[in-house]
Amino acid sequence: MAYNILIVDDSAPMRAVIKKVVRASGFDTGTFYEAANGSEALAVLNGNWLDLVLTDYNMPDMDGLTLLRKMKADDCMQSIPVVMVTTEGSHERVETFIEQGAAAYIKKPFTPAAIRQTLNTLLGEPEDGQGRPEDGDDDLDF
Amino acid sequence: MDKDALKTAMMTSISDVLETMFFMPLDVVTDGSDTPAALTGGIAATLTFSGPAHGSFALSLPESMARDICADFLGIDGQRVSLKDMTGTVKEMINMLAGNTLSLYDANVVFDLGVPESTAPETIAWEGGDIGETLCLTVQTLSSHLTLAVLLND
Repeated sequence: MAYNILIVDDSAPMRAVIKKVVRASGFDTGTFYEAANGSEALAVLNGNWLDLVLTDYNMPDMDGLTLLRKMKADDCMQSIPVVMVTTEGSHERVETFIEQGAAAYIKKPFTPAAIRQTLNTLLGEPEDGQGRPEDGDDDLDF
Repeated sequence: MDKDALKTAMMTSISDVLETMFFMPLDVVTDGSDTPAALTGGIAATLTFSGPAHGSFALSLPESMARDICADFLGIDGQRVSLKDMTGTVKEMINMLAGNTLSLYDANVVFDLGVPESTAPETIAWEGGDIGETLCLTVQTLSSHLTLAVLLND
């Protein structure tokens, strides 16, 4: 199964890095969509089938927490797993992410292994096994 | 803010971010009153924060280092790196440095971060001046150096 993934971050370099790490994790990825803030993300979500959303928190126009809340309030979007990928590290804010329905939280700076492990948990192991730790991609370059 | 604790958090954050995301081991971390790196002609960014304390972070590095970091980060040849690529990467770097510094300083407190802004290094009030107090760290990497400062508004 090919997974369609939406990456939401106001940093174009960070979107590129996350996409590269996800691709290298061995998952059968379909289409990558990108958005620079929550508003753009909602527009993408309204017009496309998505299997996973990876979103930053701190973005202009609409932050990642507002995006998460809007998705969980929408019948068509609420089942899509949302992973917060952010520099936010306060206990209170991380608890809020989870309480509001985030499927997982990854703190920046992250290792490729952190992304891969989260995807394994949410999507299952890649069928070709390329994403497993024993394959040595802990050394994966960004 | 407790300046010793903040300085420790800054050092740890610089090490974490450079080594984890940019594969750049640190050589020497020098304290503060040294001349900030790349005061002119480099790439710099600032990021405001608010909460129990408020102020801004400032990051400056020579263009050559920004180009190398960006090329490694994006996995492209250094000659293909544009100014937009470099400023985008430096803005993401200060975002991670600031977020990590504040959560390392006190994870039980919520700080709100602003949006990173590109700026010219010479426009940054590295010494604080009338604005408030500044904590400044210059980090020596294997081939270059960068400066991270926190400007605390009183």
